[in-house]
Amino acid sequence: MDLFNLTIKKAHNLLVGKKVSSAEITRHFLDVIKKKDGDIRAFLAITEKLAMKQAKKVDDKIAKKENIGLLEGVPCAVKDNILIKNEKCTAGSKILENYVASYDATVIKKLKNNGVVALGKTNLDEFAMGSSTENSAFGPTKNPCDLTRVPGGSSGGSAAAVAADECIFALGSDTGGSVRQPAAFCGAVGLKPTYGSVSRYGLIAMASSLDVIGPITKTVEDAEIIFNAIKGKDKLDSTTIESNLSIFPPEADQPLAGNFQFSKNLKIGVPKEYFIEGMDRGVEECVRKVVDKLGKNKNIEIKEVSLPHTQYALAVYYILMPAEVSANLARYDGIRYGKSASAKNKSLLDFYLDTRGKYLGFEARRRIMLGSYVLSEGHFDDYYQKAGNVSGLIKEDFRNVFREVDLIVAPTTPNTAFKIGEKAKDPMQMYLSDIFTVASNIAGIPAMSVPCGFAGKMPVGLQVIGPWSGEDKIFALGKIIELLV
Amino acid sequence: MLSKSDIKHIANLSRISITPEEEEEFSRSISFILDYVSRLEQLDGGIESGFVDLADNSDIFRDDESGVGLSEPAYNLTDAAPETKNGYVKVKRILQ
Repeated sequence: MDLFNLTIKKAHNLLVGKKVSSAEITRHFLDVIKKKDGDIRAFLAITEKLAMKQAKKVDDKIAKKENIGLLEGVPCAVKDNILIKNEKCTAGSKILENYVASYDATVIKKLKNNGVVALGKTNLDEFAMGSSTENSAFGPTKNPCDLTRVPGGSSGGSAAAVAADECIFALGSDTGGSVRQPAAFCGAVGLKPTYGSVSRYGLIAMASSLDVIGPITKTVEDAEIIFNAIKGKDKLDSTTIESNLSIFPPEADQPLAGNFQFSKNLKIGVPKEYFIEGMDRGVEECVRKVVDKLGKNKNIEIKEVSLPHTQYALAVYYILMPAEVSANLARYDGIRYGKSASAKNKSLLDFYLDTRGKYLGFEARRRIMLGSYVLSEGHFDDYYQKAGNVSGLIKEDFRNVFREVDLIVAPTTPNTAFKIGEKAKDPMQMYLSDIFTVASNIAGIPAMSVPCGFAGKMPVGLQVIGPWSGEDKIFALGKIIELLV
Repeated sequence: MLSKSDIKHIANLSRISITPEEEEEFSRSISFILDYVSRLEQLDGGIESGFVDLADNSDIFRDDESGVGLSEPAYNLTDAAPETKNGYVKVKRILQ
């Protein structure tokens, strides 16, 4: 039985048709991980016991001739900053090396209720801070398309696991591009949903006003299925919003988020600010080619648009994000959980300093300090307040453009995956890999990276950006783009 | 450019120890990032309520009823602490 390149529906059909058992599918992926992951290192931990137990439950149901849902028995990988009860959750940090989650994140609870099988936890930049997965305290993940290159980040392990066919889908988190950029680098689909559409309960916080959990998948349809399974208002996360689309739990024969139909004319905006000097020509060509093909469709109108404050988005991000990081990471004090330095003969202050100095990595400490600085007395107005005001202008840009067009398409990243070590010494170069993705987080709008070809032999991602809660539109266009590529 | 003593001060505020070699690297890179973000100064004004309308803008309280909290026994949480005693998290003396 060929179990390679399985999508959710293919796996579901095999299970329903009794061509294969859930245990066999699960075993297949565990074997692939065993074989491939020594080189790729997408996984930090394999949750084999849990996976086999979940698979057995599904097989028991099938044996009893009960109907199974679309996601039952579908194996996935989970970024290691999302809690699965009784499993380790490190966030890629030494300070949480031994931390075992005492509860399930809301997204995990939802996936478990849907019968999804969890294969393991994937690598990430420490506390999701980075664009290459090189900041993981447990070593970098490699890009499956070229092992000398980074998979992107921070959800690099999740993207690599999907690209290497070590799972059917994976969960990541996106604060400034951490789902979309690695998806683009590895040739996968990655969705950053509308802020608040997916609960953050049980996600280890980085920047709470920007963080959102999203799927990394092989197809747009799979991203849609997973999004619909994990979204929704949650009383354990007060920033969640009621979703207008409700097809949870998803059923195999249900049209997925079919609410959005192309009207006679779909207007797509191409923002001029997303084609910049210094970007990879191969990336630009790939994206332009898809835009041209879309333009040939009678029902699609392409329009150049402008998001004039784009050039300020990264600066806003590098004020708001570290400010929130400095507050969120204050909880790692060595007392309540995680690792702690020896407390012998030390004052409480020295104990804090030693614990955090020793077990938090360089980038995490840099961002905490940057955050402390921009929030400190005398600097607050210049930095945090100013960044907040400019973030309003960035949102206004999108509001204005979405009055003219239905969706925006743009490159996900200015370049393809870079070499391991290439940008490690220059933080600003590293941060610039997120230059096309951060604005969506600041505005809180959804965006999805879809593979759109190759520059050289490395995959290129095209980003479809939608208005608030416009995921259904994004999926509709994403599926068209898939057919064109 | 942030001086080494600035960096030491921020590190202390952040409750982080850094080595003398790291002081230099932090001072260089944090100054560089601050320099980059200072491009916002070019912009006048902005929108005052910029970052408060991310989601629902009102205070949210849970219903005043019991049983909403953690359903698991407390030891699940206290077990995660590096040092415990009789089911309590052990902390250092604060008042000397």
